[in-house]
Amino acid sequence: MGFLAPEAAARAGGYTVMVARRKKTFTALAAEYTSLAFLLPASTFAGYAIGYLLDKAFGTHWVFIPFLILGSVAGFVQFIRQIMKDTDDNQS
Amino acid sequence: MEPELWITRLFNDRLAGLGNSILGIVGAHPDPRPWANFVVMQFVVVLLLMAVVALVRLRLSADRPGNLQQAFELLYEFVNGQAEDQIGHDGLRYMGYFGTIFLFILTANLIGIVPCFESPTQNPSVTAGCALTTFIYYNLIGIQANGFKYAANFAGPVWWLAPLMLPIEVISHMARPLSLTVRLYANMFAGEKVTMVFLGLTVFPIPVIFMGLHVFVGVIQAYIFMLLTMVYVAGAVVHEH
Repeated sequence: MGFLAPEAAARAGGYTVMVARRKKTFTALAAEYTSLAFLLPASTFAGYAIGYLLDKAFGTHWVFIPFLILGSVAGFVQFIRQIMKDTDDNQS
Repeated sequence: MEPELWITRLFNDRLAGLGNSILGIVGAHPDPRPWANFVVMQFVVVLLLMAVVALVRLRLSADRPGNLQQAFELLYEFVNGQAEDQIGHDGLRYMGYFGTIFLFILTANLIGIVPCFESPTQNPSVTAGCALTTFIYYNLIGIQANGFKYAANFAGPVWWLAPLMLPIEVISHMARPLSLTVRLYANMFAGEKVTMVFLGLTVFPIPVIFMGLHVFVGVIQAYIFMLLTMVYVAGAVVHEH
């Protein structure tokens, strides 16, 4: 039941990538969705932590702000990616 | 400071020198009682698992499998099935790590319900250790499977978005061990505290319900940790197919 995963094909630069993806079980879906709840705060904190460490390394006081924003964006990107992946799975 | 378990007291009374030698390797100052409950409980979990697996190995029989062997065969089928669902046929190659992390976390979560013991996963250092091991493992597997092309995973789908996608992807990957750490630690810590509070406040049948809930949460959290490890490994090896 393999099908062409569009994101994998795009990443491979046009090469055809076959990924066997089965319909996820309820438990697998439940486990993935529980992780979504932690995704946004964890990404935001990770972004802040990287910015804070860069601030300490370079002696600056502003790098944490763009990294904090990037952290929030990273959380949303992951969230949207998961939703899109599951929507694709349901449609196929 | 948290009260010492009987087994921790035994370690501190008999093996304080060994504990301080280990602490010395990482540059920590000597302590009169260097062993913490969560460290000793991890030793107990590992020794328990080794003993059970050794017992299974000794009684291994293709003709007349015992109850323990059948239980382990079921466990193997379960983990293998989950790995195949997430990764495909290559999932079998990574079964060793998946099985180990699942059994370790499951035993660590459930050992807390045995009187005189406590779950080592109630301590964030233990969950952070498991999460960091997973983080290092899936990245190494990704590099092993794709070589330097693995770094292309971080650049996003189109090259001109790479400067924006690179920090976002790095942050996303850094958030994974953090999320694994906090989820497991918070669930086990909260479950234990709720059970203890109801054990102190109420009488016989009510704490049993919460203890059952704690067991359920322990099993689910071990499963979630293993499943997310599989998801991360699947993401790291996706170009290999």
